[in-house]
Amino acid sequence: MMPTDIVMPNLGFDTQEGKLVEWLKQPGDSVARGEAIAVIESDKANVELESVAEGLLLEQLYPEGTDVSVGAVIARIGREGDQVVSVANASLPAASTRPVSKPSPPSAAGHAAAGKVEASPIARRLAAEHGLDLAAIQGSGPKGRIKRADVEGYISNRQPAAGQTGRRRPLLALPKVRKAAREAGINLALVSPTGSRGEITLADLATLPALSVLPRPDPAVAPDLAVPVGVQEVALSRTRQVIGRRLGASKRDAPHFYVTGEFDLETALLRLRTLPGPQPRVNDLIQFLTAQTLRQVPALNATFANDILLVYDTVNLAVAVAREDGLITPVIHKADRYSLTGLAAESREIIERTRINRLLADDLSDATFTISNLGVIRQVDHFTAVINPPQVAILAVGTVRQRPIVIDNGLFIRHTVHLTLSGDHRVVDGMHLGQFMATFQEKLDRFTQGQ
Amino acid sequence: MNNELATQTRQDMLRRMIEIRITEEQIQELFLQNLIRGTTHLCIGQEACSIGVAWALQKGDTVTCTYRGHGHALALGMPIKDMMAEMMGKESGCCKGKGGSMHMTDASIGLLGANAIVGAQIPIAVGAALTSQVKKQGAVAVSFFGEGATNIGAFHESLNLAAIWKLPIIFCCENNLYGEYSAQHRTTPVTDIALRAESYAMPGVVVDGQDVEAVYAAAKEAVDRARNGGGPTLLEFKTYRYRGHSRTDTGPYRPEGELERWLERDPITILKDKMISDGQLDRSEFQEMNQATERLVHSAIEWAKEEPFPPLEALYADVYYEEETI
Amino acid sequence: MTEMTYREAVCKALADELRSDPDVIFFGEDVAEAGGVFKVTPGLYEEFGPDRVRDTPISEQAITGAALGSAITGLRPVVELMFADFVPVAMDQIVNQIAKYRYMSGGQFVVPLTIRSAQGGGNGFGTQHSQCAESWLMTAPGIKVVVPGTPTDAYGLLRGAIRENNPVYVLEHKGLYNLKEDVPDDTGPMELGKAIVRREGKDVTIVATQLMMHRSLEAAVKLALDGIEAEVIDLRSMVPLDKETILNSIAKTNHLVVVEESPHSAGWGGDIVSLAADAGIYWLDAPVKRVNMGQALIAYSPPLEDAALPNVDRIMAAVAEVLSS
Repeated sequence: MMPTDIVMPNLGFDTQEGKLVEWLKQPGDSVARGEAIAVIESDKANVELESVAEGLLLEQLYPEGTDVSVGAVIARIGREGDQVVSVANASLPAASTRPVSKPSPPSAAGHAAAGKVEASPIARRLAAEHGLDLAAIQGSGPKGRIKRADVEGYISNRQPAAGQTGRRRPLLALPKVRKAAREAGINLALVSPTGSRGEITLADLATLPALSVLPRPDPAVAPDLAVPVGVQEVALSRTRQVIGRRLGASKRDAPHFYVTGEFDLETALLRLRTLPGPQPRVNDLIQFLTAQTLRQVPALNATFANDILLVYDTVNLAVAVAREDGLITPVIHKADRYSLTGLAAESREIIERTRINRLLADDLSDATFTISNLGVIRQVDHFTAVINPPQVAILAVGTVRQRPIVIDNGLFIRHTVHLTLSGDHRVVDGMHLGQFMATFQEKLDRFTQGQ
Repeated sequence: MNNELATQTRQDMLRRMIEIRITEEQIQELFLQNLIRGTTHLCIGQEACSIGVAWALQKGDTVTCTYRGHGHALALGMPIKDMMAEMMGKESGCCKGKGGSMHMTDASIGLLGANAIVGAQIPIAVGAALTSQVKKQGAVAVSFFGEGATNIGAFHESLNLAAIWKLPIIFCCENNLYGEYSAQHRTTPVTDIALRAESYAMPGVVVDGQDVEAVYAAAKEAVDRARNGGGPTLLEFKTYRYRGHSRTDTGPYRPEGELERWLERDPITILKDKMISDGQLDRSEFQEMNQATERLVHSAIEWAKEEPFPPLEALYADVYYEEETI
Repeated sequence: MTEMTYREAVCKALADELRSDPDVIFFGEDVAEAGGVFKVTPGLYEEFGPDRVRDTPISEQAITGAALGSAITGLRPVVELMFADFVPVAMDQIVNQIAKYRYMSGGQFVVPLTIRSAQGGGNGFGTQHSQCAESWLMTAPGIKVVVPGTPTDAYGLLRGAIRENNPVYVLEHKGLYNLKEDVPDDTGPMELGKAIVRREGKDVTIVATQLMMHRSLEAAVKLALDGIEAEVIDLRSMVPLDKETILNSIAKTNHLVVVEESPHSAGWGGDIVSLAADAGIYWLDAPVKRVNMGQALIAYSPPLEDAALPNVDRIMAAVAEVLSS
């Protein structure tokens, strides 16, 4: 008896080919008539390919993931000992692996393909905040525009339905699918299943947004993500994703090196208290002195990108503000033009707006230098900060506290602060960092003396 | 006019006129050095008009004037330093650097403001006179303007309203024969602006604007009338400006010889000559006055040059009055 | 509570101020002996006398200039420009002088003056006596602008304006002078710069003032029959603008319609849309619509005048459009 050919079926009106998603039977497995031997995907759905014959699966003619023309033989069922004719159909060659004609998963926040997708601003934001691909969401607005309700509906469809007291719906997924999900770092609970028995298929995994968006846990130690008990997957906000990528790149591309200095603030603190009006605090003073210092060390008030070094004659000072969704750096433009009290007021205002999330695009742009201040935590003596590209330096401010300090052979206890300056060694030298420190001291002395 | 003022008064007037003259000349210099920007309007030759009127006023009286207002400000007693700092846009200027040449203002000496819009200052002075009348303060208001302004609507509305309400105000027209570049006879159908007073049923007086004592006398009479409830007066000072309308104007529109004729009627010279012939002044004292004033003006300028500009946040200050800022 | 009309509320506000503060004076054309062309100010001349309540000649520049001059020398003047359409006649004094006087002088002066005018169309006064003036006035930092839409607000905002130590222009709507309301007896001077939500809703925010606000409320009633709950915000104050109330509403409803009784170009509605498109952009679920006069002028003929001003149907149509896009 000749082995029986199993061909790629015609799955729709004008489908030319289907994707062989997964083999359910391996060569040598016994197959009953009507039993599924493979999973096939057409444009619209996944279907199980059922064997028309009984016997053993003799051979698989195509590997998983291949696009195969309709009508081509993809498998042979026969009896043990049957000859295996492992010649591909001469007349129906395998389809070349063309990219599937669904939109490729766009990167986070939906660029390219999502550029063709119309969505209202709030829909876009919600989608981005949940790490969703807009292309995967059906729009109910005119011309298929995606509205807020569409995004919310999509989200709620993926979650376990409200009202089920604590009971999660069972997640059906073949072991291969679970493995793929684990490797890709996908939470199966977020995947909409389209399998005929309500199971999650490999194709379903592909409908999620760019896998780079979600954290990739080490497969060896990752718990079974489909049953998260005592583990919470924290979706990264778009802000944090962007911060992560930028700072990662910064550390990789810019050879960071550092200079730390200690500055005696005792007299300066006293002088601050004598100033009228809403008194500037020591952080405002450090910002002010930094802005003034940078005017004289322009090499640090610069940006470096695409091999172009730009040096600026005004200082746009970014101040790092910690917020729940990450470190935000609003910018005080022309910071060097302000007086101390003026800069203090400006700084207060923009930090307040940052906290209540009322920043404008302008507030985040054109920074030439950043100050990061962890001084509020007394245990942070000093620290090193990562440069914010395309800037070439960043100042890290530690806590102001009393420390023993030697002045003219005498031992004193004074309020001091440690400043650590990071520089990008591609374009910044130790001399520049040293010059900053020296000039900062000079400016501090002048302030202390009342100038 | 044969009112002769006391020696001290004449001396003070002369000294102040010299101050105005030298300050204005120096301001011209500062423009050339680009320390003052934009434009400015010098009153050289018209000093007697502002001095004569200022000396007729008391504390509590108020004045509005034109953008050619440096003389009025100095006449009322604005320190030269404050003016210079303001001209250079410094924070210690009379308006904290926010106004500039055309907006000299000092509430403490009653100068409610010089105005860059022709004629706009006139109704404002009417308002000041209204306050005096309602609150029975006995103060008078004065508004200075050029003859060109007597063609603008606000002039007519102001005289009309002041007349109908009998407000304590003196309208002072400094007729220097030119409205910007246009000669008076081309724009105004009457030769004497004082004639316009009749349309508003108030006295109109023509005065020799180069004779500071004549100006003083006319002003004193109008001020007394206003203070005593007699209502407004329109004074017309016939005068002349020796420089162009503004910085960039070289005065090509003046007919031949006109400037020279008026130079012979220099208000400083007129008072000086009177004082010398009355034995109240000798040439070396006059020299000394000039030199002392030059030193004063010079030091004011040097001081102003070193003064700081306003901080950036001043840009948003005082758009509104806000309780919390006090 | 006392029932009173909008015009009575204005008169009472003036009277209460004249009574309580001797520095307050009031002048304008025909406001004293005749009690105002709209009969808004009868009785004031009789009670406070010709020194403090004065008729002026037809001299808008002198009126507004004198308001400034007296305000900076110690009085607290209230002046009337009969129709808001006369603002341009006094534009120099308003925009170049009053608005800038404190600033130009480096803060030497406080300018506690109030100007009031009747504005608005719908009564057949023709195009030169029916305009709304907010947009002209809003371009001048230094002046505050309020637009009361009810008798209570007419009373409170006029008193608040007079108490305010800054120049304030109070634009009354002549079509609302007969509007009646129970005004609480303890209503005092109101703080400027606070909008009010006249009707709460969850589906769409409608921002409007005065006559258009009342029409928006009518529209909201009809929309509710279709199951659409509109939130109607009465701005009450154009400068300062209550951005917080607007943004909070947009965050709730995600849809915005602005209704203005003025031409489209450079109309104040643009400022609201700009606010929504900036600070409120991530709460919008649809494009924002403005309903206004477009390029039309207010014709005299009644059907044309009706067509020029936004009406309830046009407001409802805009809401429908916004909700379906």
